[in-house]
Amino acid sequence: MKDSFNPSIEPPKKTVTLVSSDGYDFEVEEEVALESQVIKDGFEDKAVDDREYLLFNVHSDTLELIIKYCEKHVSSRKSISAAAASSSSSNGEEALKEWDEHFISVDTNTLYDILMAADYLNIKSLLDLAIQKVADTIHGRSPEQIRKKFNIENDSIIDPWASE
Amino acid sequence: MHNEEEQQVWDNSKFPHEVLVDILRRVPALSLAKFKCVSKHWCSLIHDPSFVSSNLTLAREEGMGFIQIFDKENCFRYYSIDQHGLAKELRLTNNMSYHNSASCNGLLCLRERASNFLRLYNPVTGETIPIPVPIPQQKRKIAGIFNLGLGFNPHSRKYKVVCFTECRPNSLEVYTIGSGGHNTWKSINYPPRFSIDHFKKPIYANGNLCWEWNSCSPGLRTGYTQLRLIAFNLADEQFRVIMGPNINLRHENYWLRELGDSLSFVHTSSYERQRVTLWVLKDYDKQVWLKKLKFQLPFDSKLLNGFIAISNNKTLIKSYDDGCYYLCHYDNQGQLLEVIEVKELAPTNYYVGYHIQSLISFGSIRES
Repeated sequence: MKDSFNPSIEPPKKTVTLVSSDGYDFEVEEEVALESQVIKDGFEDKAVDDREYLLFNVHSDTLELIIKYCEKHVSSRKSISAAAASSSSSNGEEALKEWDEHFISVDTNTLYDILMAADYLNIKSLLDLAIQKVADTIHGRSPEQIRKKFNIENDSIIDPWASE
Repeated sequence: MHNEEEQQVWDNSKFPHEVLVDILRRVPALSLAKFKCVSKHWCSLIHDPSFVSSNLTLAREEGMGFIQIFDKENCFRYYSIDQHGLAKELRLTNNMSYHNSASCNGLLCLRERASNFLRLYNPVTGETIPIPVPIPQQKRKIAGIFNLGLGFNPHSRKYKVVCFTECRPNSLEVYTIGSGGHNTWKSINYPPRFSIDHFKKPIYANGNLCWEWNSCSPGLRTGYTQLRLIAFNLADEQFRVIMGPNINLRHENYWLRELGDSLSFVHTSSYERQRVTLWVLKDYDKQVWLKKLKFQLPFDSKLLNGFIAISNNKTLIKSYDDGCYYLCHYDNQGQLLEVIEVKELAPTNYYVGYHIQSLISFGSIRES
């Protein structure tokens, strides 16, 4: 019990390697990688010494962000449950929400990349966060702006009475 | 405004269908009504009945709706309030003037002023259909109908309009929308001992329309007054008496509201006037009330003039003191996160209510 509070005695963390679409290796802790449902599903099937995942759809720039997000969530979860166990008050969830809000406040291209990667890797909380951000972004836009943003051809037959 | 951001374009073709649907269902209905003309694909997506109902469910949870105000000129006005507390008026597409309104699932039942004509209206889509008058035309009396109620029967998926009329004191008039051409109003009697105030608006929640029992006379010796309600079930069209939580209301401020899918009861304590307690009626048959939330207000509840629960985490409060509205955000534990003053909202009014935004179309109501 005492040991768990002393990081130096902890056994070395197991790691897996994630390879981005442009060929960069990212070595991450196992529990961080398992935030992705896709990786989790494939995890049991793989041999212990073959824990390398080729992520053909995720660029290294995006992967770096995704790993940052997963690391933060894994560590926050631990500190929140530790605070709950010792019944000390914590605003951990509130702080994490704020961190999320800051994390997702990116330019729209990055947002798109995060959204697609979260969908591909099936990281539910991140996908939710990105989807909500996109919904907030498009709310209040005109149809013309939406067509431009999503690169949609105007084939509409509706009288655009509401487009102002 | 034409910065780099605006020029970044996404590849729509790669967007997974489920992701696009998930994005759009989180957008308020008023924006979606405009997005129908983005493309044929978006239009069919937004029209889909299952999409409409999933958008409505989310709107209810998130509190995406309008504050409904009945102002000095006897007109209804609608304001959406954003998270920064800025109110924006929704301009209705027609200029009819209304005397009375009931709201359910984003639909309104309105009575036109200077006549008894009723209509069902969705302020988001602009769609409207007439509803026949409940009392014979020759009477021509404007005050013939009292407050309207609008409700949804989740079993038959039909909407019902109810009202009391002058002609029949102990019966409720009920009209079912979309049940064919031979549709008429029918009268449903209730026991005369049920003391229903005909001038009070019923509250719709969970397939029932509820009125407060009018004469809450305290027990002679005990001075104990408990909340009593009369609920009209829209499925079996029966009246039931429902007792409120076991609280003496004699010296308390309290309000009945619709919150999400349930009937909620809010009261402030006479001893600790900043403490607000919110109850939710979980089960109509067993009459189970759940204490959902307790929170402290930043000001004395004596100053409270109105209390409108908007979502599980938001409420709008009007103070007597300055006539201003305040938007309170709190978390699930009842901890007050912030209180902001609402700007651009007319302080003088007679009635303030909450109305959800939805895309429900009358075509789908008639068909179902």
